[in-house]
Amino acid sequence: MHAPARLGLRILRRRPLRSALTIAGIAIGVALVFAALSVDAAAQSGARGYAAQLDGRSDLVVRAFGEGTLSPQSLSAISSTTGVLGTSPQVRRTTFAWSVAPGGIVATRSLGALTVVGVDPEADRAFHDESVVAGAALTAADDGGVVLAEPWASAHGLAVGSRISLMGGGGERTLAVRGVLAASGPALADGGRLAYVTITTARALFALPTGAVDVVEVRVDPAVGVAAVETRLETRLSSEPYLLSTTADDAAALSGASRDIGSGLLLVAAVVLFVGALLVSDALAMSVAERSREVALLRSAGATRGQVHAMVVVEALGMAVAGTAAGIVLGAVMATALVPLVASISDAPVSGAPLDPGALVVAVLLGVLVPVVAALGPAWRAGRVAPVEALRGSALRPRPNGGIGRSAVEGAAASVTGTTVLILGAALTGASSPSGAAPIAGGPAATFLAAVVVALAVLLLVLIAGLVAPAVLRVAGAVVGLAALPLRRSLGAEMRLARGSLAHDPARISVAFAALAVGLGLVVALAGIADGMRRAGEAWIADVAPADYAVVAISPVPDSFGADLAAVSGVSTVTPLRLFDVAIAGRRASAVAVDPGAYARLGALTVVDGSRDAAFAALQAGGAALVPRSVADRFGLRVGDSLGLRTASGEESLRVAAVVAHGVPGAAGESVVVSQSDASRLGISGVSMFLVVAKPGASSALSAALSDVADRYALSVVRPSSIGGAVTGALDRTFGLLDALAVAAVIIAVLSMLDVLLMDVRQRVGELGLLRAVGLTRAQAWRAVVLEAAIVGLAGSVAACVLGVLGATAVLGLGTTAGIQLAVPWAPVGLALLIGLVGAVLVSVYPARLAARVDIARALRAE
Amino acid sequence: MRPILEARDLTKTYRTGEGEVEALRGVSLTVEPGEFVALMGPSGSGKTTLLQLLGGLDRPSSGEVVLDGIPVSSLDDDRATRLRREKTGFVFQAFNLVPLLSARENVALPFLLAGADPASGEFRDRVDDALRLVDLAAKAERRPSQLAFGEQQRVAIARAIAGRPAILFADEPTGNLDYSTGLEILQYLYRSCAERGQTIVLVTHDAQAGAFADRVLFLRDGRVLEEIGIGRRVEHPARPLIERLALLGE
Repeated sequence: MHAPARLGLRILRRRPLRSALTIAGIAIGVALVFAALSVDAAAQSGARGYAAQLDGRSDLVVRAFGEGTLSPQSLSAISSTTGVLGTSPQVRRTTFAWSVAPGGIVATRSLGALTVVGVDPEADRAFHDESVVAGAALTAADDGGVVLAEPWASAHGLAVGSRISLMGGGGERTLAVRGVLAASGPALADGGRLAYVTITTARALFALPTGAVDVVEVRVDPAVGVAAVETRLETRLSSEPYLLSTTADDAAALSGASRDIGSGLLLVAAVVLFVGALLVSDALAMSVAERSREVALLRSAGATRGQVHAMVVVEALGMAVAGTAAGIVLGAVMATALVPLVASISDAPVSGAPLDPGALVVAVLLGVLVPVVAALGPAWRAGRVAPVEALRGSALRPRPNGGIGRSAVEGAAASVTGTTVLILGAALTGASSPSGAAPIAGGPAATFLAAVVVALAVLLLVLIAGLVAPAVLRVAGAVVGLAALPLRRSLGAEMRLARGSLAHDPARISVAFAALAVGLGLVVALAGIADGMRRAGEAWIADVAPADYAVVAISPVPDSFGADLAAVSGVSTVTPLRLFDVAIAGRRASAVAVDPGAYARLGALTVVDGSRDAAFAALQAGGAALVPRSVADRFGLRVGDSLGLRTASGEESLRVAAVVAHGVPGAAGESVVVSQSDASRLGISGVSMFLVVAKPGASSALSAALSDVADRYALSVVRPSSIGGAVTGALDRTFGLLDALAVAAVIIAVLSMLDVLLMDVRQRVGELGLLRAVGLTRAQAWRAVVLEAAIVGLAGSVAACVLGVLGATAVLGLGTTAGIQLAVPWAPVGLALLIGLVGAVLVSVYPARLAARVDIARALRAE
Repeated sequence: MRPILEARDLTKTYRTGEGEVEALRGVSLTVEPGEFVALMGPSGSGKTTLLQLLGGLDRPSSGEVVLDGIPVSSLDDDRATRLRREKTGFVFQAFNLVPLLSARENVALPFLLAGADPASGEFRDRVDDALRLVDLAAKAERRPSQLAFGEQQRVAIARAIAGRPAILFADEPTGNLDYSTGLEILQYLYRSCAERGQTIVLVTHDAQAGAFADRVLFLRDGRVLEEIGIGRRVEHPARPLIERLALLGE
């Protein structure tokens, strides 16, 4: 190894604490990226495996649209399409089950919701490998039998020979358990709440026409290809609405939630990378500035610029290798901890955090490249040191107001490099998946663009923070000075020294200030966005379901059930709602059928365009619809426009009577509101949910009384707020995850401050020696450093709160969900102020101790 | 009259990677109030170490320093710091000033560190008086970086005398200055001694600087080898001192 390169490594050993801090910063960044990619890979792998198990050997799945079915003609058209090797038709519907006592009497014990899968056993076996753990597999002739999935069967104490009763449109049907399937393959669907019956039994149970099916699994001739068959099916299936999906589509749909998380993780990782790159760049810049005389000596002794460059780059490389190694270990631990969080959000099972080779390669590349790129600027400057200038001691001294821009640009260069590696790596990892889908929503190009925008936005923030740092630090100093006014006699000197130190060279501290502002700002912004969305969700539910209870059915129940609920003592009104799928302009949407009078009396819906009274009157009269703002925006609808709704059973053209702020949340977004009479013309009947309003002063026993009635029909009683709570719960988990990662940026920022303070004390040893000589006590030296850190912490956290609130306002304002108003998230703002102040004071303790223990004689001798 | 400063059998040993180095080997001396004493000697003779022990910046390995009747060596760090603040003034060769403070603030530093308000009453008068003595009243608000090297050292002298210390220690105060600026600085030191009775202990290797003193203690190998009495004079010719030093082999 060349001598300057050896020197680079020795420098690391000479300043062990600073090296350790920078290594820690790199390690946190690498760990975060490695954990994010590993968890994402685990989620994608889980989704792919889950989809593959569910789909078996099918290449395509054709599903009937909404509550409609596919006719025998459609099934025949599918089977006879060129390239189709085989089909497996299914009836697949959700219903309720009850246990049946051995004597044959239907018990009152509800087994809850269950998905009934009616199959042609012979055809199904060509698509799926079933593993029977007890009893026998289903046969085509077994009309009165049912095969259950093992987890659900054992959870309810059901075994071969047990009997269960299922409710369907054709009445109740009691079936005997013939066999139990292992929890694998298709039996994993719906959490194993599955009952396999023959397709004939299923049609009878749900009163479906002969030959009707809900789902058709399709095997495709590889020589023809899935895409070609898809195209042919689209031309041949024109008489009935349907949905067509491939296994890859199913995997993509299953991993949708975790993919959004993955995207969020990577964007947060990009910000953390930026803060980390800033730390590395700043640490190396300080290191080079400190060694300017040494560099000059090397240059005067014959070292070339290239050798000096090598010295700095090797120093960076040494830290990069150590940081990357530590980061991989830390990342593996983080990934293990993150898996349960992601699993709680994902639709598909996520287990373990495999050592994903792609994630490992990307993390190692990042860990090595980012510090090296961040070192290029300091290396270049070191190479430019003229020996004479450096020996005069004037070279590379920090210049007031000159450091932040340079550090930000160098940090940005390293960050953009890192982000590029991150995105390309993630895209390549995604491309290697069977689905060919990138693991980031919107594809690699979109996310790359988003990451670059984020990096540039952060760069802009850092530059702004750096520019305003002197003024903000002055103000913060004045504020701390005012706060300490009663202690002026005892703290006056320390305050003057702390404020003087900050004013003398704001560039030195502005990097730490900017890093703190960005890191904590991210935490505040995420909290603000989460809070805004949470409140919007709660307001939404309160607007569309203004009731004390919601009695929810998993599949439509007769309207007459409402009478039983209304008869419960303490109930004032019962309002039925019926949610269903529709197609608007060929695109899937949601609708809800209501009794206009009853729904209006509840006070539901906020009309934002049109008259409320006129709107409900039009709804009552029929031929009209109330359209949520999001749907109006999506389809370009205005009051008075004609709206075409299509279901499997019919098509209606309705007039938009009003635009409302929100609609009931449905499977495909907010629901268009129609009257029950119009819905019945679309072939929609029954009720999905009853909104129950209690009489004033109703007893607390009302909930139990409602539950008693609801249990009879396998309905569930919930508080409307809990519907919002389910949404906000998922939101909280998601943002909690992102918050946890944003904390990494704060940790790096705090490390950066520690680094700056240590460097500051070391650079000012002579000055401190002088101050001690002329009468500064150890305690005063200690307090001066702590006060300086406190001022920076206060200024950084105040700036973070401003940045965070502005950022959250911008995100909520630009978001697709209109009408979300930001309320200042006081708790996170308070927390950010506390973290900034306490964190800064805590990290200053060690540098302050060093300052207090400066050996006067040695300091003066050394200088 | 009681001496303002007394050193009794001082020794100082430093530990290095290769063993111990004896910087001082039993030095004793006294300094009378109002006296100007120079410590001279070749590099490594121990003169700066001795000054640091006399000024309470460091502790001797053995022996005792008594400053204005107070035994310095037995004081804890806080008391020693207060003693330095109240009884001593220092002028160093380099890093004389705190760069983030103005000339006036640097002069007022000992008052500020003592918790006093240097902008009020007696303290302000003392600061102004010290700045006038070194002819820098007009540049009081300038930062050190805005002053010439000689002016910076004059600010350091003003700071050292502003608190009216019992004794002023100066360690090679002209070492970084050209000949004429160095002489100027020595004149200011001499003025404070002659006009105000300021006691001064000066460390120097320059005979021209040593000639400003009333008495010279010559050190070699950590011991006082010779004491040379010069006496108070208006002129400060270096020749007699140089001749005495030549006899010592310097």
